[in-house]
Amino acid sequence: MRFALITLGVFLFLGIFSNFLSSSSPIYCSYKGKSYFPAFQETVVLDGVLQSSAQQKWQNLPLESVIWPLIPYGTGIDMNHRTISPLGEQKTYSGERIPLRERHWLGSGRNGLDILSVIIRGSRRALSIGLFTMLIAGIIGILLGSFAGYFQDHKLLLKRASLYLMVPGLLLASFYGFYLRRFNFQTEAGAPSLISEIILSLLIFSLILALFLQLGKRIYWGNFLEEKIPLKVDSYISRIMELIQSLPPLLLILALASFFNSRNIWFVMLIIALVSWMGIARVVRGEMMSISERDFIQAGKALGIKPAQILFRHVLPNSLASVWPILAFGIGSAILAESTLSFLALIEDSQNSWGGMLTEGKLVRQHWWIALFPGISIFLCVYSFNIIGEKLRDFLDPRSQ
Amino acid sequence: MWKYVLKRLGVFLPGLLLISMLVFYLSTKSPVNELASQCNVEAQANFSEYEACLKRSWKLHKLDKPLFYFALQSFAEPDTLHLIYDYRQKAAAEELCHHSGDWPKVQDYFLTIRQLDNAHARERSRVKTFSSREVFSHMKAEIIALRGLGKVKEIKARLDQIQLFLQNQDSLQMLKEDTEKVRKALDEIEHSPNKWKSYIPWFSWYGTDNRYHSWIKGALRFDWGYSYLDNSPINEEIKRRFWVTFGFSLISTLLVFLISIPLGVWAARNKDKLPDKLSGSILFALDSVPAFWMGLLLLMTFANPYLLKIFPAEYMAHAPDLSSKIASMILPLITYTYGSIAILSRMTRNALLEVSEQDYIRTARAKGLKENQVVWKHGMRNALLPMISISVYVLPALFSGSVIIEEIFNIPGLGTYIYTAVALNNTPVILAVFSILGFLTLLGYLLSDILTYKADPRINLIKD
Repeated sequence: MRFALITLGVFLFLGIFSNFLSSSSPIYCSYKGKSYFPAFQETVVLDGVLQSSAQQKWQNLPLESVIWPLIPYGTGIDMNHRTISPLGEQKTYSGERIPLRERHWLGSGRNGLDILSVIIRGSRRALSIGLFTMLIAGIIGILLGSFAGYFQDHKLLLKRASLYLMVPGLLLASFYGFYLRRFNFQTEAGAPSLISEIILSLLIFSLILALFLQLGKRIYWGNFLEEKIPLKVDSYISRIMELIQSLPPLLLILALASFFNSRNIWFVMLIIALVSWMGIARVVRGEMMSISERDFIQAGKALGIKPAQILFRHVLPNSLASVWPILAFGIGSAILAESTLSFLALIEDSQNSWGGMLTEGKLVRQHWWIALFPGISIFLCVYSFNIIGEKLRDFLDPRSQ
Repeated sequence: MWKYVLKRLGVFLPGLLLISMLVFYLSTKSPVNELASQCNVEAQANFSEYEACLKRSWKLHKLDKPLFYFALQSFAEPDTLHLIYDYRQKAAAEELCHHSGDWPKVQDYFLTIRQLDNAHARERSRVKTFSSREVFSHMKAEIIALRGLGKVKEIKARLDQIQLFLQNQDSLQMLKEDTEKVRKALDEIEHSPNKWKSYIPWFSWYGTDNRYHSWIKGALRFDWGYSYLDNSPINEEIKRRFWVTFGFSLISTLLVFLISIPLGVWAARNKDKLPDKLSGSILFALDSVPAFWMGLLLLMTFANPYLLKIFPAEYMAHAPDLSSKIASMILPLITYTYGSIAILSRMTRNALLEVSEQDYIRTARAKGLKENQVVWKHGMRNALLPMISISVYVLPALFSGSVIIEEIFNIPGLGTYIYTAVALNNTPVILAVFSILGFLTLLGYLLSDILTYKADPRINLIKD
């Protein structure tokens, strides 16, 4: 456990401070009386000219004072530092000795990409993908799982009228929420605006649906349609989970990524989340079912507390404890999925990730360091999350030990 | 028993149908530019030739039909939109129609563009000087771009560009007029009084002559259509590749069971002793090793001319003799199986340990049965039950793994087929491979459910 926490702490540190630790431009420098922080800026204005800070040759400039990062390598290609072994004396392609400060501690790849810098930048990517993916998966899983567990098959009673009105309601809601707004999703502005568009669409969708439900609820529809029948929430959600779970996950991700023709990292994260929420939902559902039968919940009901209050204040918090181990395992497998997709070169910007580096390792087998070190990073990261998941599970459920 | 199977099928078949609809619908979101690039750039210069080429491949891939049995669309949209075979123009027409709510006006607009294109072609054959030729080729690019634009603002920018080209050319009065006509048609679209029409939902019925129907009909007869890349039939390629992937999966599954069950039993019998702890932690660690890294490490150690050259680096589909074929299969098989072995053997161990606390095991021991008999006959039989349901998770993992492993070891199976198809947006191939492997996995689940029921009829996985 301690090993796992320390490893993850190291990766977290590398991820958070990746710009301080590895960049081809200085952390701080002053040039002609002006101060610059080029490692944190995409572009800088030098001598009145806007320039990309990664492509600027900072070491050739007459800088007055400068603080270099620990590893003086960034994303750049350096044909003069082609494929250097981490062992022994390091020389450039033209035969000069590389000074100790610029040593490639873990070797360099085919284009002179420093492996250690890839590992540092890759840890930021891997951890953020793992956490973000499981955040989305957690939200979906907890929502659907608590729905299924709380209402089960017989507790959500709806009027026949409401139920039947759901059909035109769903059609209209998808028409106004998604079909009419379909051109808004093709924005080139990137992920944040896309996400806000999706949220707006979902809002319209649920508003229209709610309208139709209220319509069914408020109006008297005659004896037959007034009759209350249960909505089989649990059966439907379980069926959906079964179906998604029984498809090969990687093939599903591949197919979806191709159908939407997107190599965008946010999009791929969303897809990974959409195929990995089922474990969380299943656990929440089970816990919900057992907790809602317990005495303190029954007592709350007897006291006349509102169902929503019972659900959100009493049942849900108590059932969330068992989600943590699943989340830990999930982060591990999300990182695994990301590195696999980067390895298959199906995510943009894959040279910055551990998996993407391994693609290069596949091509030249005698350069063992290219494949070894990024692979070890993936393994350590996933392994640590798995250990933490296992420990959490034992802690929460001592019987399973 | 048969009642249960029927009931299970009653859940299985609608699910399958639903998935096929969903996946097919999502697949139609995929771009078809790969198909258009078949009609080469030379042909693009000649509009009618390009059109004829597009039309041909459109017919071949059955893209000239409506998507589904019915459609929920807006009142403004015509139900003949699917007949436009230029995918960019179709998207543009759809968007313009959405903005204006007036389909005839959109049609008029595209007609004026076509007139502009024709006029351009006529005038171009007349000019002789090099500089004006250049102007003409710039203009052609603008006109081609114009056909695929759906946003009024962008169209206006292009039109401004065209008029800028024409500004100093006095001899090209015809073209100027035609451009002006396009602008007028665009204005009518922009200020259309019929905008409300796009906010009215409309239901149109197309019947069985649609894309989904013909795809699913073909799929049931194992006819998966044609590849977008070279219009070759997908069937033959799949027939060639299926047995490779299936063979690997079958052998792997057998190996997984043959290795992991004895391993789990051995670990359970040595519970909390050194072998159990050691194998437990090794297997737990193996579970976190990514398959592609494992494959690479194996290649780097055992198929590396600079280190050890024991096995060939690639799978040999046409090996000269059996032994070299088997040798070339060893590394892929290790990569295929290690993950599932890690999971399944730990599960066997835990299941067996749970069972061994039961009374009937103590009774068996008390009867004086040998330890082997107790473990295998009484313990394992009962421990197998939960394992049947778990073991089907091996299958999706294997099929998922096939993409990575076949890519690393150059195995000509379905995994590499779908991988290259994904890289090139070759949708019919993706759809075909996904359907086949997905169907096999679902079938595996069905089988395991039925087996579990047969082993213990008390377990009923379907709620009544």
